[in-house]
Amino acid sequence: MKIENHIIRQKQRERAKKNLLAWLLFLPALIVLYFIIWRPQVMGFAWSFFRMKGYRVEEFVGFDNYRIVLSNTHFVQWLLNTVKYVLWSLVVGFIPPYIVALMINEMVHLKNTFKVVIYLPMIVPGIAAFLIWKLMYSSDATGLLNMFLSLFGMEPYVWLQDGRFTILFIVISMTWKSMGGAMLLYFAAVQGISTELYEAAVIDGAGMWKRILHVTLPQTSGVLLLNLIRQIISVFQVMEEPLSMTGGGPNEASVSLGYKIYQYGIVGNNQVGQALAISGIMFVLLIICTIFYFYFNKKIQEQY
Amino acid sequence: MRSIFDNKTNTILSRGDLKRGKYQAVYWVMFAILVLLSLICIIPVFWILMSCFKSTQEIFSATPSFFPREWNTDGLAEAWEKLQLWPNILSTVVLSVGNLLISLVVCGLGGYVLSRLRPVGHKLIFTLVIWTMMMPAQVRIVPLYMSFIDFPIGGFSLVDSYVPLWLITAANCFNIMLFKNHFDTISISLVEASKLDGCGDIRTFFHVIVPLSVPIIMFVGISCVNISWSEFFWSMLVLDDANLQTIPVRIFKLSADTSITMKIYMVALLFACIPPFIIFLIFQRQIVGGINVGGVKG
Repeated sequence: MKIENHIIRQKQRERAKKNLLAWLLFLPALIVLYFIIWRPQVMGFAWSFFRMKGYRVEEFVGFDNYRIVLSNTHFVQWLLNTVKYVLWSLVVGFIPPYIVALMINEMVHLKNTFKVVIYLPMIVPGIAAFLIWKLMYSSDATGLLNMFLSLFGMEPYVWLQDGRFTILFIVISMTWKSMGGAMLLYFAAVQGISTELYEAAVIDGAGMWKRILHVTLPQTSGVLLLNLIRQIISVFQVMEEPLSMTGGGPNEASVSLGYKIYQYGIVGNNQVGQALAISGIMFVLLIICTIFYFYFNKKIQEQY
Repeated sequence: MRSIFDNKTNTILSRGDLKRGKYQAVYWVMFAILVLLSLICIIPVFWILMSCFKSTQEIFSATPSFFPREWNTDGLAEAWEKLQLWPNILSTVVLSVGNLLISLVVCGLGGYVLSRLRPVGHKLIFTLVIWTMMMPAQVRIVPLYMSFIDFPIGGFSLVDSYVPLWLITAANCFNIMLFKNHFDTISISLVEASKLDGCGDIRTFFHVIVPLSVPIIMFVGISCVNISWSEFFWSMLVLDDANLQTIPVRIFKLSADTSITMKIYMVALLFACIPPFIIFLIFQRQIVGGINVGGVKG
């Protein structure tokens, strides 16, 4: 009896030691995640209900910050702009990388060259890419795009200064920058489709379009759907692009919610409460997307 | 008759299709589209490269051309002299090295614990890590900045030090998951064999797990080095001192600097692209391959 107890106790001690060691090894990650992600995420939300003086947290004021933000006459425009970013990025940047991946997969010639070259913009540092595109969009004759127009004898166009399409032009440069990553992701999925499925489709007499519709699409719909949600979440937070290309202009036409958080919370620090309130609103909207993401992710993983 | 399509695998267009003219036309149209797209991908940076060889008058001429009319090479050295990028390069290198070491330790150990050691409560942490991966980062900008200028413990300021940037790079749940997914694939019998040989958890980690994980370590390492050459927002907020500015911050500051000429600015833009490009040339296989590994598992 005594010996058994002893063994059990020793085993417990060993297990405790193991647990302790494991937690010790995880401690760096825990500390970093706490200070960089969890604490700011939670405290930012909590502080959005407090009055802020500069960066000092003063007193609990309930929904005051939210009321100030929502009653701002420009808020709707910022929100709509952000939605515009998302919609344009879906039109310009969601399907094209998929089609490119399909086309590259069909190639007999230069398959790898295409893959690498189309990936190249991904390695251009983001800020450099946007500043280069800003130069390309120059409204005078020196911009590359106006040089191109002048080949056809057309007058220089103002590009980013045309408030109706500023967001579209920013999204085009974003797509140029990031298409390679999505393309590689889709390419891996497309390449993973068994050729037997295609051969069966050929025997069944399915033409090119039917093969895409009944073989390629169903086999890759999971990756497509997850990437769709991921893209919505990431473009909704757009900030660096208007910051570096337009500064929110012309006439606030390219101001996004993310850019406003930066302006309110960091450039001028007397509206920190409002920056936190916008963050709170954004958080609630995006968490809905995140829940969808996990729901579909689980479903898709069960399917395969 | 042999044709160039004989070796084609059967995908959307099968070998049989490509014997017919109509589908051959489809193939060549796709080929042309891809060539065009490749050009679009290269031209912006190539245009900057070409502009670096133009004289300032030519950049601003009323009828500019894509290629320089006169190759002006002595301006390059002059521009480089004016830019004085060395402090910025040094700062970026310090940032890279720190990013690399801290990320590998934090994320590597984190992934190892979640995958192999699984202490009490690892399920909770795992769920938290997964959710954190999808949390919108923009939402924490302001509170994070507040904690950098007035750190929650001790109340000191971390501005003008590399620590915040190193920590931001290390706090990457995607990398932790990449490591975890990779360690999951390492056969348990190898680990058990090393345990039988008398290795503890830590020695097993360094003598069995690490040698088997070189590709994933390379991938995470390269991406951590690349971040310091491309990330600009936090570097701009945290590294305020002119001598500490990284290359991306410097070119952003130059874009608003009216005291330099367009040509010098373009040389700076071009230089900002070169180090990441060299890293890509050397590690092309690891970068492209790693994305496939990480991408499918998401």
